[in-house]
Amino acid sequence: MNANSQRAYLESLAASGALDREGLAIGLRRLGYLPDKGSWRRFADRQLLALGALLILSGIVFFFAYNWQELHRFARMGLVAASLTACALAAWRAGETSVGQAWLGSACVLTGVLLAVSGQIYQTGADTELLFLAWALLILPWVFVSRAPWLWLFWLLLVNVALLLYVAGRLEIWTFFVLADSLFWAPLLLNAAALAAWELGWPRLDWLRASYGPRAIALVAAISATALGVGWWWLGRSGGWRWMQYTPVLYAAWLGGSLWFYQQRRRDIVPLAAGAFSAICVVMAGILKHLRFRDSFAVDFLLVGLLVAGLTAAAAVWLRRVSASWQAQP
Amino acid sequence: MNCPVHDRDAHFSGLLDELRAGGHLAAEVPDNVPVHSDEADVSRWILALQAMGGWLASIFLLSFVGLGASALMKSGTGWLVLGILTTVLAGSMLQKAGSVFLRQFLLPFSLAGQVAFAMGAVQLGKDGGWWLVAAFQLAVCILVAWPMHRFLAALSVLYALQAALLGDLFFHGDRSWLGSWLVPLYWAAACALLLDEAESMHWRVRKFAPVIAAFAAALVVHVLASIALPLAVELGGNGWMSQRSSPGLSQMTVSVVSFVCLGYLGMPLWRTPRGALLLAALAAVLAVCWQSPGVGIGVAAMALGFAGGRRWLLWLGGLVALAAIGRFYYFLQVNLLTKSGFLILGGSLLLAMRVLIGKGEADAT
Repeated sequence: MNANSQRAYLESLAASGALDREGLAIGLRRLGYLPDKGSWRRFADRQLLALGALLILSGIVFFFAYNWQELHRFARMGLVAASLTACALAAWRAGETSVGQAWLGSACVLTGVLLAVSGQIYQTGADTELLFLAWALLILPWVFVSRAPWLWLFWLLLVNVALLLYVAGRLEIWTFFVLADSLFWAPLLLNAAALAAWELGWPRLDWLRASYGPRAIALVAAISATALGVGWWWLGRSGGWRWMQYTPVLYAAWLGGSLWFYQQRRRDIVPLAAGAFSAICVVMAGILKHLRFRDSFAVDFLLVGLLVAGLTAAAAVWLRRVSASWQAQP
Repeated sequence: MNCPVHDRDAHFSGLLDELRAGGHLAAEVPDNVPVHSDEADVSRWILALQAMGGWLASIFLLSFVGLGASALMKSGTGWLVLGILTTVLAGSMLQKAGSVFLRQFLLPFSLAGQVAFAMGAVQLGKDGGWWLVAAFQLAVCILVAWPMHRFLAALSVLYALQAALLGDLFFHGDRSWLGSWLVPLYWAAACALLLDEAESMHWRVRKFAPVIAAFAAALVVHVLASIALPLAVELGGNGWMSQRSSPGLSQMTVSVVSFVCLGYLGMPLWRTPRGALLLAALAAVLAVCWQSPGVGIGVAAMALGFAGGRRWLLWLGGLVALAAIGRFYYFLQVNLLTKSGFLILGGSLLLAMRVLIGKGEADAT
């Protein structure tokens, strides 16, 4: 029974008259739901600190925003560059601590601000994706030395944004007509490769073992794969999308690979659940495409509804069995 | 096997034994108390998959039912009958449903039934129809014993009451002045219920505690939505926050209720001279931003969420407080430079309050 179920059980006991008021208060306090004096102090301390710092920082930003036009271009770039240098120096002094990582993260963010400010001042005419790509390349050495999983995720986010801006934002003829489906496969390949690299490093590097990292990448990869699979059913036989015949192979490779790896090699239920849901969506997209909803609307809806129910039930049963087998063989 | 799940269960069993030995818990637990379901320890990711699958399946099946029952949807009475039938059927199945999938599958059916009932009732009874909707939703809230369903039904009761009193769901029309008093009224009721829960738990040991809990949650969500939604469409000029007919008195009342709530929660702190100064600073902050009452509501909701161990309320309150603070500074009729000064001053005041609390605690110990 998890903590929420325990709370619900105590509250049900109280509502039924089996547990008195005092007992309920004792129980909830022991389960950690009702705070003591120390918790209240920490709570107030953190909220006031966070909000106070946020307001002061916003005030500083507003101050510069007010005076921005009057500042000379060297002053503008100097302000950002000085902040960036200060963050990098602070990170160097703090060393390999969480504080040092936080300073290095700030320096990485400020690198992007510096690029944006220089682009604004000198109007280089560069495409937006180049800003993100340059940002990612410039901070790469810092990301390497940071040994912070969250900073690697931030770096991957920059690369993803650059890639998406490139394939979706630039409507050049060859991209639009020949490689239109790159909108689906490019993010899938990028994130699948990133996930594979992360998993390769998982057994070797202690600092890389943060489960949120591969989970986040696996979810993004699952969204891309689902878009690819659904796109294949609905767009694959028309116009500029005719090159999508490779989709079943690519999708099956991604699905099979991730289900095998996260069930057999490194046990994690999140990529398995994401894969199962993706498969349900792709199968449903195919069925919806072939039903066409012309003559027997109502029956089609009934069939699809029952099929979704069946597939979901099957996926849930399979996932629970996998989860139970992990608990039985730790 | 010594795994955390078993440790947690053993710890909980020990707690129950302790409560029993202390005379707080009856020796025999009544049969109608729901023991934890077999899904309590299933990964929330699997539950999420089941919930999404349940909704997806029900959308298609609802379309099937809707097409089949289209003949009924031509008159108010037809809508009413369809609504009652669907809600009763889905509600009675929900009572017995054990799995997350089945519950999430039945929920859209029940909601569709409730919407159909509301459409029929409003078509037949015009303004009076909303009273009927409120009564129907109250019955649903009492009879269907699933917390999420109860919460949604309680929320519907509040919106139906609002529509019945105002003649409109969204604070428009001739009676919008009445609407400006509904938010303070709902907020005072929410604070009273949640404060009681955090401090003395009077209603928690009543038979209808789950229904009251649903109404407490619905009241606070309704108030937070009344603040947050107009913030989102502020430029459109809709809603309680921006309506011109809303007397400032109602907004002040909300701030006063928030102040009383926060004052009650921090009672032990105010007894020292530093605590009194802190209370005065809190009153000053709420008085300064009385035209943005979401500041007080958000902060009080955060405190109530923390006091009752309800994380969702803590986060919702935090989001509303941040949005309302943003609104307060956005609408200040001063230039950016003065705004930056006010922001730095406001931040410094909060940091000073933090130091005061720390010193007050040190003095007390």
